[in-house]
Amino acid sequence: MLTQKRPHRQASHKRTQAIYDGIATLIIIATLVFGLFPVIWTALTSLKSEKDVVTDQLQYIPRNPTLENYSTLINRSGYATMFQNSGIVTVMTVIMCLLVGTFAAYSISRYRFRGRGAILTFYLVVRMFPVVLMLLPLYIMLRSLRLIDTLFGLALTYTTFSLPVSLLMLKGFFDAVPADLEDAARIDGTTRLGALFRVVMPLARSGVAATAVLLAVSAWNEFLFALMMTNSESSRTWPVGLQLMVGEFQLPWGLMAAGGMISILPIIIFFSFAQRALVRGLMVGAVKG
Amino acid sequence: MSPRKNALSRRTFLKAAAAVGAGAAVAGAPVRSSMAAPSNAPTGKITYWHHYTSESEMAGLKTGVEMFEAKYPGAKVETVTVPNADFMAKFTLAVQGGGKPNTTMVAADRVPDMVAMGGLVDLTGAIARWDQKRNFPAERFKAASVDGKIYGVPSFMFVDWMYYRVDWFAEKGLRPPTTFDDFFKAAVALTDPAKGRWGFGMRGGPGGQGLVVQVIRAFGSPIVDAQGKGALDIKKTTEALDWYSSLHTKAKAVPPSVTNDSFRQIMEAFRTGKTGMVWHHTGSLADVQADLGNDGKKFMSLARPRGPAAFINDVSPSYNGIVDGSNPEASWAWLTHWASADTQIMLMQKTGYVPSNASAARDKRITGNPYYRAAIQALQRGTTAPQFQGQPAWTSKVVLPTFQRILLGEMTPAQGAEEFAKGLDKAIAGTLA
Repeated sequence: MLTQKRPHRQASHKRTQAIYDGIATLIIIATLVFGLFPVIWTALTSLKSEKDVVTDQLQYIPRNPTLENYSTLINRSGYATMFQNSGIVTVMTVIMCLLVGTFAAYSISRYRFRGRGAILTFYLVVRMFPVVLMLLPLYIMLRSLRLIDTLFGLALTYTTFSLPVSLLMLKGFFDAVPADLEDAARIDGTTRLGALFRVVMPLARSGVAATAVLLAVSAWNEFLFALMMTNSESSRTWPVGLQLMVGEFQLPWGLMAAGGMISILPIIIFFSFAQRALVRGLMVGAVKG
Repeated sequence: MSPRKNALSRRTFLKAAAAVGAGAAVAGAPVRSSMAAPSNAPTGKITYWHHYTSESEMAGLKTGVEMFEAKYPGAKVETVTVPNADFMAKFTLAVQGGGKPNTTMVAADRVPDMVAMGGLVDLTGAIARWDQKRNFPAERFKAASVDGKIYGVPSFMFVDWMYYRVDWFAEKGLRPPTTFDDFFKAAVALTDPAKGRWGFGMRGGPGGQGLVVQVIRAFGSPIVDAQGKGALDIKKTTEALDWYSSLHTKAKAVPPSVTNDSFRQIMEAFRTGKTGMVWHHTGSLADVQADLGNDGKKFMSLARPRGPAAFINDVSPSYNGIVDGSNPEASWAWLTHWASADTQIMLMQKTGYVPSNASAARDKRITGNPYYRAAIQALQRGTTAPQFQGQPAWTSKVVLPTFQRILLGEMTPAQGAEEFAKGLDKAIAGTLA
């Protein structure tokens, strides 16, 4: 009896599994469509001429695909500079945040000292304030340092409110690295800094990469401070440039879409590199068997 | 760019409040004395903050700068574009934290706030001795005046008007409407949902509140009395709301998306042949012409139709002011340059903004253009929107949402009128949530 029932059970199990797989696939497809449709729609819009964008009837596929929006945007005065400025500010912000954040997070993770808890609480509390409240003090400080309307000044501004995030994230990753490994390295004769860079950092690089991606995305897309702390075209960033395209009497959808596609490109490239590091970091765990 | 868009949003308010609040702790608003008319030749670099954004506006600004620098070879202007929505936050930050521009564009409804924070230089003395003052009627300076002092020089006028499809009117044998009755009949006659056509592109979304108030005024109801207290006439307000909402609820002469239709939707609908008439102001002319041509065959401009009790066609000036008086010669020359007839005519040709200089408005380049005729007429008999404390809150928090509920059939015009009156009293008292 048992041997007769087994094929039936197996078939039933296969059917149930197939149903589950089907549902899961549908959910994945729905999620993908929901997530990707705006991006695809933006990409398609960027390939349409303005007359094909604003029409009586909705067109999904461009009738006459054109790269006109991209060439207009690239040739438009100042936009190449704004794009470059965003890149420079993003790189500076990531470097400053990782540099300062790494040492700060490591010291908080590894040392026990008076005020350690207070420092962590302080960083959390700072994140709870709306960033807009920091506008005036930061503006006055940058102005005193003659850093208003400079890329370094802007990167410094981003560092002030991104540093708590990087510190808290990095601390979590450093905490996960067993202290015994460092002790072993110290016994072998390395210094504290040597242990940090030769043992802890390689093991926590997935976390460092994730933090870098987060910082980069945040700095790349930031608008408010970029608008407030810069005036001249030579120091304005890409999000400000995109916002300036929007007028009350016009909204150049095609140009905006092309701008959107250009602006997500560096993030996608950066993320694809960082993603590799993330996966590698997870795979090369020191405690795996 | 529009003065009607300047009501503080929550986000803008938060930004401005943060800047002002913190700024008050570190800097007091400076007391200024009136600037005299500069006598030296303008030289050196000055900065100018503005919120122009469209291509036509930017083209006008660029030409204006070139004209100025050609006229004053020793002077140079650096223009800074600031998005209109974020203008007050950035301006407040610059005034409180340092780094003020030499000159700035000043929307009429922002003057009191900008003066209160010490952001504008008193120009009363300079204007009194200005030889071009004769070309500016006294009321042109009214919205730039605080406590008898003038803080801005008029650069152009926002003039309300409407556009209509000439070809659609010809098809139906209709004449351009001059009264609300004509307007309603035309809207109904032009509507043909089978062809995807609606008679009127009603602005029932953000920004539409100002138009509702204009309709109420056209039916003869005051908004506030001389003391600034709420004075809505419920009967007339009900009639006004009934007439205006009926275009949608009964006549179905406006696109079904009306409650979501803001500026972009109504203009795109007009430009793509979905609607036959639309109410706006002259600032959109150049962009409409870009789509529908400028030969008068497809569309034409027209003064707003007369209401049952009053002709309401609002006009309001835009100003330029001096923020940092460190280079008064070049700054004053820049302000008066934008007030000159030639510069204003150039700007109107580029953008559609109507000159504030009376001599420019008489120029053949303006009077000879049929599109501008309606604006010039409106300028001569134009009305001014009432200004009172709590106005932005009342229009955005009460007028628009209540009118949308009427459009959706959730409320009758009579109930809406009662809501308007209650909300107005609260807004004036400062207790509107």
